[in-house]
Amino acid sequence: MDIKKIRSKLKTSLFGTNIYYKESMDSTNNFAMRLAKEGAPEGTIVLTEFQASGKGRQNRPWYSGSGQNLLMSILLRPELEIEMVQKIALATATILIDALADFYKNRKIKISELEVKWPNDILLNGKKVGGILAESKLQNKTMEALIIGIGLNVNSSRKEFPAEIKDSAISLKDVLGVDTSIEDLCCSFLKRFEQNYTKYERTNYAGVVENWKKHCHQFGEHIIVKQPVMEETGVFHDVSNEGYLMYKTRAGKIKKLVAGFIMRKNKNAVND
Amino acid sequence: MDLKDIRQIIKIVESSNISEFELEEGDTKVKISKNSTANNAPVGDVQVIAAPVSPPVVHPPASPPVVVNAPAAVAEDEPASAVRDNVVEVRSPMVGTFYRAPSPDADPYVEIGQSVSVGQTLCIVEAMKLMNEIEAEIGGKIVEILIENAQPVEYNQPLFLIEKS
Repeated sequence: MDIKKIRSKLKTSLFGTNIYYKESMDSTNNFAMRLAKEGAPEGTIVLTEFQASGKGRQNRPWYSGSGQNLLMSILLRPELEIEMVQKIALATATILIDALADFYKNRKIKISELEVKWPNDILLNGKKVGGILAESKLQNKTMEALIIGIGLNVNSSRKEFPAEIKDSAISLKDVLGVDTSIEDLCCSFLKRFEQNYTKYERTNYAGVVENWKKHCHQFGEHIIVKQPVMEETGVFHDVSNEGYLMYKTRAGKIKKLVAGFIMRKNKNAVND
Repeated sequence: MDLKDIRQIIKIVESSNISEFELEEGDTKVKISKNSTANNAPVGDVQVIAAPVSPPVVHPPASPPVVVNAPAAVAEDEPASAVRDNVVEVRSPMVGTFYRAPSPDADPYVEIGQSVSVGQTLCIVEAMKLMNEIEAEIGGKIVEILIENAQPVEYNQPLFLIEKS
């Protein structure tokens, strides 16, 4: 990855003013969290080519071949209620989708519709092309830092994916057949992220969930809802204004899922 | 399902704002219904801890007013004796799943009896894939861990008791 190229092409005023890059690290989120604890400012970006322990939810491994993908974390210091912070993660997924759509449109490359999968995965042709993992540091209900981690399969090939994700993951190259400049993509995304982040901060994150829902095709899907003490089947019904999943039980009741995760019925976990 | 599971479910229902809970598993059917009078008590008026009134050690002055979701019935089950003047509760800032360790095979962040300093990570509360590291606001010794790993927590639910050093 050519960090000099990113620095020279980046048209932002806050995001990316501080870029930390190392060829390999444990995970960009861990690195960014350490920087946050040392007092790094909002807008600090962490980039790498290889994560020794790239992670998803509950530290499930996030696989990525070296140098082929976008592996980035953004440090934010939002002055918001914790409830609002969920919306930043939802917003990031849609910003990334919009940035990708524009990026390829400007290059006259056709790409099929990207979708979000609750709560913050990105699908291409029904397979996972990207994921977002947000981590915060809280003290006395005050948000000290929020790290938004982004993993996007760009130039890797499904053939190189480990067996367990081969059927569920995909890269942009698998679909487009051509390589994408990770540096250019990164600059486009950060520019869009900065514009949107500033706008959302001003408008108290209005419209985030509505916009997210436009990119979601899970409504009506049969799901298994796994909660710490129980498991039940249901139908993906809606996403609440706060970003919670609303599902319909077999008895027809609408319930809100606040702690737990969902799996597509008869399939592997859909949000892991 | 054994008695331990049922007790666990009762605990969870008690500490939530669910008024009724039903679970069927094979031949076993469990129905838990909360007394409506206790449930209708206005939120905020509920006194969870039955300890003698003492200086507000639970929350530093800067914190927002305490909103307690748990019904009054929980009060009897609280380890009232544990909350003394020099013991501070760490409460969950949000609804979610409580994790004592960064990953299932990692060591817990803290154990009972361990000393912690301000800013040290105590646990993670996860909601919608947002992993929130909860830091200690005061230094001291962990005297009690009130929630089991991977269990749901309510807003403001006590998670740890820390004896101030």
